[in-house]
Amino acid sequence: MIVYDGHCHVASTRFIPRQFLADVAGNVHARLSAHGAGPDPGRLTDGYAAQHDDHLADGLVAEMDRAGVARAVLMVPDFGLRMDCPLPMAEMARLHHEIRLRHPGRFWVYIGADPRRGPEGLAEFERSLDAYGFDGLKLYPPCGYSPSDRALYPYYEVCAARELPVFVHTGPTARSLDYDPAHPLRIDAAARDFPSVDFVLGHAGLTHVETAGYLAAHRPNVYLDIGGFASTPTLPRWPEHLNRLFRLGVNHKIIFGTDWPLNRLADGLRRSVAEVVEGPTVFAGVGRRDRELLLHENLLRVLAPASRPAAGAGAGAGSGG
Amino acid sequence: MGKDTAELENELVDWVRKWNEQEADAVVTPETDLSGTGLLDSMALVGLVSYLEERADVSFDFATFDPHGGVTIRGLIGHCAG
Repeated sequence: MIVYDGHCHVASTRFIPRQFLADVAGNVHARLSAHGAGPDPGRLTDGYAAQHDDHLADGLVAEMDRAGVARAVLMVPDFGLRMDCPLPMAEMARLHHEIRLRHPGRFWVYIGADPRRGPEGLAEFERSLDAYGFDGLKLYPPCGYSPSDRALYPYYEVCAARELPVFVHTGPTARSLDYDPAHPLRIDAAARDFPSVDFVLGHAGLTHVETAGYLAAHRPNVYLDIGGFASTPTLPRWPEHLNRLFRLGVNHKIIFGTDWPLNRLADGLRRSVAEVVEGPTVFAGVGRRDRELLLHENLLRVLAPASRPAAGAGAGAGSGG
Repeated sequence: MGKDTAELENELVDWVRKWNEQEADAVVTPETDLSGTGLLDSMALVGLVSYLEERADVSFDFATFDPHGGVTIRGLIGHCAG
């Protein structure tokens, strides 16, 4: 069975702000402290930062090989207007292009944008598409904007013209960011106004499942992502959750993803992917055709034809473009 | 690493037992696979490593740590000892 991971990040402090890691560590510290086992928050943040040194994605490719993941989508969110980032978006785009050249046929890239960057932001988005042939747009509404903000419509027009998908984070995130714009219903106006653009709601198969489920069922261009399934604090029994999700009748709209490097220390990709593909629970009662949709075909359906691996090129070998 | 290894193992075993409030079905020893048995999730593993760093006054090298094949208390301590 071909497996594509529709939601990964390069585990690198070049791309993930220290503030984001500190926010994650803060929540971990709160939980550990309630058990009387809370270490120093700064030490926790240092620990997370130390796990983000895979700057060229060599470690991720090794994980993918061990797990049997042929290709993955790399997300490059634009946190720059809310957090201090070590690099500007243009440089992050260039480095992701180099990563893709280093690992041909292994990665798609969804490049980030923020509508408040004005015309120059839009021009930079188009430049990165022209220069590097990226495969989608990544939005992070918790940075402080709605995904249906009219300032994003020029971006959606670009995506419509180029047949690119838009990946939108939904649900909770770093505690210093805004949760209200991350509700899945915020996508509704944009999804209605741009019926030819496919919108993938990040994590929506894990949080706000009822709302996201009806959006996926009734908006033809809305899809659900399950990134983070193995490390979401509110889903301690995630195999049972995924099995329930996969029985809702929207398997034609759900895209498999892990949100790597989440859960990196616990077991890496291999164990969580194996639990999904070969375990006794996740796919219980889920037919083979639906499994193919979930594990790779739905992702291919939202990608532009130019992004899809060439026929006969093998599951892991594509245009890289 | 100046701290006695056996003493450190016992302290970490106690940390895991305390985390599970003595209710885990699995017996916790220095060689128990902590992630594979579900004793610790990813958050708790980060907490355990931080506790190890504090108690042994060492820095855990995440870059070279390989969790494949399971994460054990003895493996974590051995990784710090080099």
